[in-house]
Formats: sequence, structure tokens, C-alpha cells
Amino acid sequence: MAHNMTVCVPADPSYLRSLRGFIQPIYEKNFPEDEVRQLVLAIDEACSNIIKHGQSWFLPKGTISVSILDSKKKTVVTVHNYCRAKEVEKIKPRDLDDIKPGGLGTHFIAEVMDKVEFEPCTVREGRMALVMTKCTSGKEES
Amino acid sequence: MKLTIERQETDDTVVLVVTGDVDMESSPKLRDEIKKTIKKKPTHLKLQLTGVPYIDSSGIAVLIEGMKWTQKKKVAYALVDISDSVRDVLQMSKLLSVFTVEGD
Repeated sequence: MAHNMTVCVPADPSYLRSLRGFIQPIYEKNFPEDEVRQLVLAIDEACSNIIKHGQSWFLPKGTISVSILDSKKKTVVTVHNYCRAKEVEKIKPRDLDDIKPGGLGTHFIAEVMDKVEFEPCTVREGRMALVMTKCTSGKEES
Repeated sequence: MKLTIERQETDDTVVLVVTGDVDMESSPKLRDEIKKTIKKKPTHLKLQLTGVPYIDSSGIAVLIEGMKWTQKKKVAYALVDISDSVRDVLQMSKLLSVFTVEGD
């Protein structure tokens, strides 16, 4: 049976810890410890990106909204209102051989998740949601 | 877990014992502490990271900044007793071999 839940937190770095505290127990049931840590990291990075790049201005009431559809076989995480449609092209992991501070968040998301895609946001025209899928087997389901 | 940083100083070495989550909220505190320490020009600066259950990309960025600043000032820089979480994230960033890592 799949469980669907949504958590909303203010778009403020001081709430990221609370968000992680909410997410972690959800995954402890179906994922090994190291993958739980990685999933929490990927979701946290997605939310941090919204705050970092000033996207929170677009969010209703300045909140970040994360929906999780969790089943035994996979988890699908949707971070709503992630960016403008025209910005999707620019969101790419950076070259890791260039050792410099910053820009690792998108790399972590791509590394942890089996599938990362953008979908038109249902709540605001012109905005995109980030949809991340991770399968318990480590492979994308058909 | 809220971040605390304890400073342990001997003649030529400063160890910053970092405990708690290093994330977007707390990483500026670690950055300031590293900066402040480097200004005092110790021979060695070590970051003990046993008590760090979570680190994100902003925390890794601070570790890299620390490495670059210490290289400029010729201060020996090392990460000590890193937690599994820190190790995982450094591995994912392909940075584990870039830092001097001491301990288990």
C-alpha cells in the first residue's frame, strides 16, 4: 500500500532540520541506513536550492511544499514550485574535477535518485515541480 | 542536531571539535570559526567530525574553503575521525582523496 503525504515548511534555513526530522523515519522502513541518509540529503538539497536561489519569493505564503508518495517498491518525491520553466535547462550537476566550493547540491540529487525530472507545477502557471524517484531495488520500475 | 564548535588549542595545533548538523543554516558558523582560526596562524588546523550526523553541500563547501585558505597561509589542514555521514557525502563528491583524513 502506498502512502501519500505532504509537508510544508517556511522557506528558511532554520526549518531544514525539522524537515529532515520528518523525512528520515518515513524511509527507515524500506531503505537501508546509508540510502536513508542519501534520500534525506537529496530532498534537503532540493529545498536548500529553493532558498539559496531566491525562489521562495514565488511560493505561496513563503513555504516550501514537499509531497512524498511512498510504497514498498519506490518513493516519489515532488518538490513543488521549484523553478521557472525557462530555468530548467540551466539546472545541471557541475564538473566534479573542478574542486571548488558550491554547486554540489544538484550533483547529490542526480547521484542519489534513480530518476529526476521536471513537471509543470499544478499550483502556478510557468513554474516547475522537481520530481525525484528512488526505487528500493535501485532500478527504475517499468 | 544543533551545531556546536569546541576549540582545543595546543602550542601549534588547533582542533575544532564539530558536533551537530552542518547545513545551510549552520555552515556559516563553521566558516567563521575556521576563518578566525586561520588568522591566528597555527601550524596545524584539524576539524574533528566524529559528532557530525549530517552534512550537506554547503557544509562540504566550507570544508573546501578551509582547505583553500589553509593552503594559502601554509597551515596543515586535516579532517579527523569523520563520521559515516561525512564520509558518504565526501565520497559522493569525489572529494575523499582530496582532503587529508586522519583516524578511522
